Amino acid sequence: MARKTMSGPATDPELLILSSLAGGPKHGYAIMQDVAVFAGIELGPGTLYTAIARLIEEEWIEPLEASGRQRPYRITPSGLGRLHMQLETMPRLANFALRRLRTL
Amino acid sequence: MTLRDLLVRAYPKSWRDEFGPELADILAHRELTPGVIADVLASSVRQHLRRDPWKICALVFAFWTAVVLIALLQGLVTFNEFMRCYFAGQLFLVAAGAWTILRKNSGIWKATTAAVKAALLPLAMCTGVLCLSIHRIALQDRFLHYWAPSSREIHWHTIYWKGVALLILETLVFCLAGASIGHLIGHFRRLGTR
Repeated sequence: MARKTMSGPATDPELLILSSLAGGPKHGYAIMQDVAVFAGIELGPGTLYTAIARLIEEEWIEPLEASGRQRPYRITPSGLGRLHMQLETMPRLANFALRRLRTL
Repeated sequence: MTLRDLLVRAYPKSWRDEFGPELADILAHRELTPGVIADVLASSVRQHLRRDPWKICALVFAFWTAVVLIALLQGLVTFNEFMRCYFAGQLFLVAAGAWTILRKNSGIWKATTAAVKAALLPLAMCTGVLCLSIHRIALQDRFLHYWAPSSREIHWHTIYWKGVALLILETLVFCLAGASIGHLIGHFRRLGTR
């Protein structure tokens, strides 16, 4: 569950986590805080770890050595590629949808 | 045991071993609102279904069995029709075995065990109804034509044990069949990628 405190086009938890980790390795709690700041979206703990588990499975992020109970995660080169591809698609999609809206 | 511990324990063990301490740490620093609880519970269900695909088959098969059992008890279907529906439902066990092998790359026996787990609840439901049938005259009449069409001389306890043994045996056959199909598909896939 990604709860929106403000509206925005990108609410996919996996995209948000990849975007957060693009700024450097972070543990789960830091990712949640970072996402809340840059996207205004409050990720639920279950949503966060469901997405993290899937991202690890896809090898788009990897866990680092644990510090205490929290384990930091780092984005992998294939994760960076994935993020790049998704972010490039978004403006194209937005432009296309905007063109259609203007014709209404 | 606190609610936070229970929420973490709602996840499958393999998931808990990997992410449990981190989730527990985050939950310890958050207020447990209904939204957070619902989020964690929904996520735990997703992880159960994702990590153990047999659980999806188990849920669908149990639901299917419950529907046909209710139909039988309400007299909407005959016992023969019920048995046909139940056997058709066992294709979910084949799916459970095959899916476990293909998703988790496990061996035949592990996949068969997973399919057997998927069969337990429906099997228990059918056994319960068979057990009930010993004491219900109306149900005895309904089962009579299936088990002993030519005779009114019926020893119900023998029928009960025969019925349960038959159900368990054919359930095992379906489970093993599913695992073997999954194994074969996996084998041909590997050959194809070489």
